[in-house]
Amino acid sequence: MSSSEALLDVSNLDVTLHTERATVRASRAVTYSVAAGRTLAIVGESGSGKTILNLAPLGLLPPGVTADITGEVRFDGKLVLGDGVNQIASHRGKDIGVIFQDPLSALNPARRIGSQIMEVAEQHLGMTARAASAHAAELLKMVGIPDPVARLSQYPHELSGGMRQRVVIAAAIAAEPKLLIADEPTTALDVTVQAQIISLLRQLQKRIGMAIVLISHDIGVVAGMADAIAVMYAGAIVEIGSADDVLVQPSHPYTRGLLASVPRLDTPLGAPFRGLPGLPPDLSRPLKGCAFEERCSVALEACGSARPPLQPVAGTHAAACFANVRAALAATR
Amino acid sequence: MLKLVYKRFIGAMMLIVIASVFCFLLIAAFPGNVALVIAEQRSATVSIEIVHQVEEEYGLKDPILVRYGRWLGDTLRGDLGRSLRTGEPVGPALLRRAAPTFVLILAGATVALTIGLGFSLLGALWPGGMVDRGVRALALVGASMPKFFIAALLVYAFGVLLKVLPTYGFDGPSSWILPALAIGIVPGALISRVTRVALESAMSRPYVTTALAKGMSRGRILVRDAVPNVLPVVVNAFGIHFAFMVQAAIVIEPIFAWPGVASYFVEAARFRDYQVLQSSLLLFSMFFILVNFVVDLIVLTIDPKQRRPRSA
Repeated sequence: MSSSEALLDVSNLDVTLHTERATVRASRAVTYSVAAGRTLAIVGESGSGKTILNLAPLGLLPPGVTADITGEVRFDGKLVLGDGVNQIASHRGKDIGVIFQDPLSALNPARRIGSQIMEVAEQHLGMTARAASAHAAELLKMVGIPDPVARLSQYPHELSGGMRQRVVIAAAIAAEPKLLIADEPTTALDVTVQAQIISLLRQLQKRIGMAIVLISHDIGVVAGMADAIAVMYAGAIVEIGSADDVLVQPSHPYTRGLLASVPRLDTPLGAPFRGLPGLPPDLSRPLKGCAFEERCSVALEACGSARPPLQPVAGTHAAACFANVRAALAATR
Repeated sequence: MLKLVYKRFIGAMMLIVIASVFCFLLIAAFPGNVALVIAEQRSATVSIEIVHQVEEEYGLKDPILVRYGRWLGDTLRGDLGRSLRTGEPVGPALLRRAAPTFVLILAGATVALTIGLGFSLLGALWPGGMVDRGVRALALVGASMPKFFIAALLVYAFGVLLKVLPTYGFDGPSSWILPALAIGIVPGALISRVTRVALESAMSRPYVTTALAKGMSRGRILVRDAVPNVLPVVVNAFGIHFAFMVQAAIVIEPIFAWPGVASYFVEAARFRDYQVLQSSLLLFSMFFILVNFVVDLIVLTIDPKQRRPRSA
């Protein structure tokens, strides 16, 4: 991925979170980029820092949490974070839309859904209330909600979970952002609705031409949507590359474990579930070596004392592992 | 929804009936012999004959249920009897004195609401800031001061030292200011605390993160997202304090020589004027119950989940 044409270019991003009780190094030296109109999936288990990595620079942290952020973020060719600059928050809602995991709590229960969409158009597109209302109805239609005009005056509790997520999406794309950050957009929904939301996102992406950063732990969702995949473990990217490379030829032992733990239709019934043994490390403690060492089946001696850097495997495909995993795995096959 | 309103209405009506029983019993259990009081008013030398005559005349020897029934019947017909002290009809007197009390309570409510909403919003806009901490301290002080003390302070400051406001009487808007402040500051402080806490919890909800992600400013989020969610809390708190202002008026009206129902009540209590006491007590109770009924209705209407239950 060359960074010259990238819409979003993140380099060496470190996020350290401070709460009253603890200080957590949520992400370290994270570098990635997303091209306009493409989809990057950031994959990892809960607590790997994938959400914080994306929301902290936007200033969208849970209350009571503060963050130290270092590194650089370029958006649309402009430096928006780093070197004393922090303007990324001014792009919120306008060039950068965000959709959240839980559509039940993401919408305000005391406000009509119309006004929750309209305010984006009023604020960022300078529309009058009347124009914004028409725009909101159009958006609801675009996200597949029937009878949009009547829906505008309804409250969130009058809609189903899937419909609510469509409303959240409508509000996020109301100003036609260049980038959509989708934080586990289907996790709270049931499986049939998940598929609908994913196909809706792809459809909207084509229509608006926006880039999507898809944060997910669901390999199925990721495989269906992503052009590129970044795998996060313990706050760092351990493997990054095109979706095909990462899914078909995973290089890092963690990625392999993650893919192996996905139940497949062709495994015989009753076969034992192949999960990853062990737990991710506590990010509030300093790490000496590779964060995955304790759970790794191919760990070398060096893994306990130094952090492996991201190294190219082939082309744009890179992995952070000392063991020449591909070769090692090829030998065991 | 309509069924709920109906149920609340029936409940309020029943409460009024129960309140009327208590108003009557309370006065009937008043220490002192009512007949003796009336007899004392009639002649300088009280004999047992006069007392008996009074008891006969007012039916004071009848069983208590009969007396309650008679009082209730008279009251429902609009006959509230005559004041034992002045002999004037109680109904018109109460009506005449209701206006000043109404003004006092409305003005006090305005003060309470302004303080309550204004300070809590300012505090929530800059949480932990100077305003927030100052208001929190003031609210604590305000809430712990007795109202007559606040009244005395206000009179001293604005009436005696600055000499800018009248300190007694019911004589145009400038005379309303001190009594309204005296009656409204404490409820205002309490409402601001409750509202501030509710706003704080509303501002930490996920829909606020959504609004931030949509590029809305904190102030706008506070007003458009948080306030609609805390309205039920505010209305409930306000309703309670509004209703209790009748009680506060009993302290405040005499201090400011306010010609309202509450000072009428206090005078009547001094003279054991039970005709006046019963009726004004019933009036206070009805006001209290009515305010609570209206508050319930408002809370029902502002909660969209109550107003528009989801039809499957």
